[in-house]
Amino acid sequence: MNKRALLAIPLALLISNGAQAQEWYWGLSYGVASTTSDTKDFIDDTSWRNWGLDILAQVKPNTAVGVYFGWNVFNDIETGVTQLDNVDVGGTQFRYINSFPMLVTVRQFMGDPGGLRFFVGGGLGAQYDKNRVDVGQWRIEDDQWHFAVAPEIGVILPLQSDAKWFVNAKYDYAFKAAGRTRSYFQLNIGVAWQTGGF
Amino acid sequence: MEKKWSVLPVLAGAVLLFASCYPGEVTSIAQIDVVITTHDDTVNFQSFSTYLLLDSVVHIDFDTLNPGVADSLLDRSNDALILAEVRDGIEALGYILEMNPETTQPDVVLLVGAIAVQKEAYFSYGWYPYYGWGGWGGWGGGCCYGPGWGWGYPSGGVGSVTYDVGTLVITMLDPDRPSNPDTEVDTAPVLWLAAINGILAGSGQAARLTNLIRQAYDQSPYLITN
Repeated sequence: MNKRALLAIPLALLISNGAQAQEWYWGLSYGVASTTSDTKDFIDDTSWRNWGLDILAQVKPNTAVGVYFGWNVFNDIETGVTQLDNVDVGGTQFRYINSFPMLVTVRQFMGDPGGLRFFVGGGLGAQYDKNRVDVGQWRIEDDQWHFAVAPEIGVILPLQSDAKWFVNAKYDYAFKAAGRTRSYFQLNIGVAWQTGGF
Repeated sequence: MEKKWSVLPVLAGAVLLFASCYPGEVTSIAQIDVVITTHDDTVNFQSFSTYLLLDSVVHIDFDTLNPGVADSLLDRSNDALILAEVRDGIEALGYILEMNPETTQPDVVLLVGAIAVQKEAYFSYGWYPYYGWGGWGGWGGGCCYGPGWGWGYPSGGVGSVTYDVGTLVITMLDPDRPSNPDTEVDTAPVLWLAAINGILAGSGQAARLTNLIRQAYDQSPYLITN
């Protein structure tokens, strides 16, 4: 099964069932993130600038599909020497990644609707990353699209009838493109509005 | 009575507080300083033992369209410090000053030059759209609304700032090696080159120069001689 088919399945479920069910869930989240792997080699620092928007439609009593848009900002200040062939560059480097995952998501809920509910899920889609290094008066910048996945676990906490708190832990992994992967753990807290039985 | 919650303003406030594509930008002028070094990797620097340092910092007019710029932007208040740091640094690597260069040729010759250019940067401010008086034509309200309320832009604009950028160039030459016969200009072969680049402003220039010259040697461990 190719990547397009994998993306098409939850999207088709969202379109065919989500509209009929009319049970919607909108979530806004804020979180902290920590880089791993290639991303950690580039920026080894905790990010406090992470936002997400989840839009989900209930397609079964305990299943929802939807989309996720994220904005994660990573930055680090490195001092030291970088070797470029036969040239050594010493100075303060300001490194940045602005990462924008855009995923089709699925969530499976546990527990009774309206109460405390755990969920597991994941996303699949694209991630656009903008990478920048400023050193001295020079700037090196490149953009890259990746194919990305993001498994997650979380819990929804009742706030009032149509609003919830939620907390989730997510691992964003963007597959190798232009010779590098991008990956980070996220811990998010957010508020969600809903129209039905989540 | 159901309790009203006010999460949204808090969340919106958090977004506004932390929203920035490029946080943690430059906070001091020294953070813009850069030291670039390169060398001829076919050379065995351990075979050298003596050096000669020319006794002045040469101002180089890099901008051929504006001759004299280097002299106008650079002064000589730090020349003694620069030459002393270059000398101390090379001696710390094991090189010995050739005391009689007229009779005994040194293994390497160090030249120090300085380049300065003036740059201009542009920045914008205040271009946030708002809903207010559009006025006649201009920015507000599009082409056809005339005077009245409409989308417009507050006073803002583009500013510019000029700043001077300096580069200190330390060059190590081998007086024994022949010039490149393929070039028309008679050039001496460069064994090692350090370019120290920074903005010519702010206090503490002497301390910055000291640190940067030392950095140039620190990041060139292959220069160590016996």
